[in-house]
Amino acid sequence: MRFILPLFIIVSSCAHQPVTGWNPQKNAATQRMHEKTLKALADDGRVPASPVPDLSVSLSDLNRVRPGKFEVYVFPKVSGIQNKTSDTTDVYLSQPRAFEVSVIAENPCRQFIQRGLFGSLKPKDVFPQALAENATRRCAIIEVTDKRLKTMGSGELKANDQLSMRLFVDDTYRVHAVDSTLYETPSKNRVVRIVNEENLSAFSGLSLFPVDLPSSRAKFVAGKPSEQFNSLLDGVAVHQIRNRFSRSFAPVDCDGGVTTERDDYGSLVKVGWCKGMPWPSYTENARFFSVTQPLSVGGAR
Amino acid sequence: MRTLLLALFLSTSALAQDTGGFEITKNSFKDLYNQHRIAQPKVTPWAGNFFPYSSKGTAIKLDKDGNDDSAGRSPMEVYGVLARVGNEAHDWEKENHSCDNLTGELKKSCESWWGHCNGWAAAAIKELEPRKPIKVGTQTLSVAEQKGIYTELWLSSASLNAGWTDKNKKTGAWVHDHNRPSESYKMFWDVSPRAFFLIFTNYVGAQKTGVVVDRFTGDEVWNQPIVGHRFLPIRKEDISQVRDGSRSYWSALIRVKIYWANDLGTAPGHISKPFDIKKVKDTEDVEYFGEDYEGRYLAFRLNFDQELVMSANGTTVTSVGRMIGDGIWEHQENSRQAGNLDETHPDFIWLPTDPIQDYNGNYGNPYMDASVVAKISRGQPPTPSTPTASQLRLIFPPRAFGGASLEAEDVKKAVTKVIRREAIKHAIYLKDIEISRNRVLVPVRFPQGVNSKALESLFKAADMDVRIE
Repeated sequence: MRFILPLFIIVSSCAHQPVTGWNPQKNAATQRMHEKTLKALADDGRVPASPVPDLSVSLSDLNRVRPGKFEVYVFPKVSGIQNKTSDTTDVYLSQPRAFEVSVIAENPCRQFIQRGLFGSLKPKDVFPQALAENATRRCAIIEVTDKRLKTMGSGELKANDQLSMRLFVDDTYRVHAVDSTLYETPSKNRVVRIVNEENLSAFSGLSLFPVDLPSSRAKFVAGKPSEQFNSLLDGVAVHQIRNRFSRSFAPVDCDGGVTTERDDYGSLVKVGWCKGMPWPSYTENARFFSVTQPLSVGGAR
Repeated sequence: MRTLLLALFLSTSALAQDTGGFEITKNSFKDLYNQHRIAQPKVTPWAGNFFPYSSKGTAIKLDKDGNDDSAGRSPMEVYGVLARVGNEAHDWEKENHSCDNLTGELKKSCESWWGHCNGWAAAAIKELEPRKPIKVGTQTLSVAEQKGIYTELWLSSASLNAGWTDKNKKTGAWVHDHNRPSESYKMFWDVSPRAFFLIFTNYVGAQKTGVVVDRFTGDEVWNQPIVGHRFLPIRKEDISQVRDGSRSYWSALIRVKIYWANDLGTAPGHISKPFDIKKVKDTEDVEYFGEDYEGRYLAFRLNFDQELVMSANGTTVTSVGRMIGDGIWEHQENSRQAGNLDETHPDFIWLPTDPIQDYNGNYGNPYMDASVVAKISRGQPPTPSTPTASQLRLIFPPRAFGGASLEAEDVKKAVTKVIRREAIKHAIYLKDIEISRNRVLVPVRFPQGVNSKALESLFKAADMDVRIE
């Protein structure tokens, strides 16, 4: 009896320890998953690199950008995969929509964090304290509004239509949080705050519709961004933008860089950025293709 | 069709095993599980009828209670009266959303499962359930008629999508052939456990919006709007450490029950009962909540780079690392050659965004108009539509289509490819297309009229010379 008792204690004390019970060698599918998991494990710890130094981009230039409020034209991708017939349609770009980008504030981060600047938007809840420790770090609150929804009557809006989003960005273009304003009823909208955690970064920079920025891992390949997006910004797309939003619109032909990467969820994100501009010129992901109205900073275009 | 599917898959194969068009804004397993383990959309999607093609879709004649009645009127007929398009919407439906013109295997498929389930599923998420008749001008629309109109409107919608499907390959032993994954195999398994978990917890959980799943994992498509999910407690025995040399990760068996609104056998005029995910228990048994809702139990593995530690009752994550890799479905891990996996994980997941039609005269009813339906839903008589239906003859030089031996179907596709970019409602019939050495004539019907000058400049922008008569 004395012999059994110590044994029992040993066994039970192991019971809360992890069990090495699952075998990844069950079949080819589990083996593949195991290998992919090990590879993903090895991929961790990549050194973050901001796109800012590659392209001489400065968040502060949002204050000097012309026009002050600018537009991003977004072509949603349409697919008919869900159709309940044997037909499967291809993916194509549908009619463009204009989103207005405006800067609510662009200031030293510590003004948001320590001095209560724009306190009603609660920026100090999302910008990390560390940003306040360096007086040169700058932060911005940027608002992106769906111009079509803005002009629609409340009766035409549908539940969860995303009316606008407010982005909390630092000078490396890291997005710390997004406030989405969603339509609920004619008398009520709701604001949903999504915080992008430091260690569990959920979106690739700004990856929410209708804007997408490269993730912090992005590496830009120098070149002319327009060349990479020609097939999307085709004659029809240019025609549509000119007809609807800007008669003088022309694709921007600039030097800059393009990054193509898969985000953490496997989705392709491709961003084209003109050198020295505070906002990307082109973006493509699984949901849309977008092009920014030509911008200039100060006097230069 | 298989060629098309293959090409599609090749061009999008990189999307395999990801969250597709869904935007994932939270990925902390701890937060997602703890905050959204049990969730349902803010507005419960309603049970409805999928208006099968075998009954002529929304051209089916119904009485005021929504029962079949050859002396009654169809949802499209009453829509036609209100939208002032006469019988066009009804006639188009009868012609195009029925199985009458099909033969062989297609006809068989059509009669057994084709219908408007995607239209209903999208409408059930985006439109409030019509629960009583509504008066619009001189017309009183029954619940069935309102649901029929919504269902037709949303048949072809813009949406966020994750996952692909091959509707042309019957489910067979190939789904178990893990050693030689074919293209169809990849489409079968491409909604990974991680994508499933992230989409459900981010959308149904955090955003409290509905999503639609294709609950038939194989070749058929059964779209169902999700009314709730409940992840079951994670038990100690569900968690393992997996070691491979000096490397290791943590693997956890995650169990979940998902519930959706039903459309099979649901009468067009049916009014849904409430659904409450809190009544679902933390057991693997799938509860029965009446004919309006149906559920399914699923299990899968997710992997983490640090130990997953749960509270004593398994309902709260105490600590865990990052999710690593895509995970694996339990039924993929344990699949057997003879097993039928058609009713397992969602074949694809999607979320409707806009009630656009594809307007090519084949799928979406080109006589539907979202703004008209919006007015009907508010009980306001739609204003008379000023533009009237028209037919134009588009005449192209053969070089506009690449010149070489042309088929009417290629011509139709090329023309539609341009017109659909502007979402102009139109219908092209193959029998109307005339191809000769000098010209290609394409008669196009425009249910709501069209500005021929604008159309001409659109084709010019697409680098296609056209003369319009």
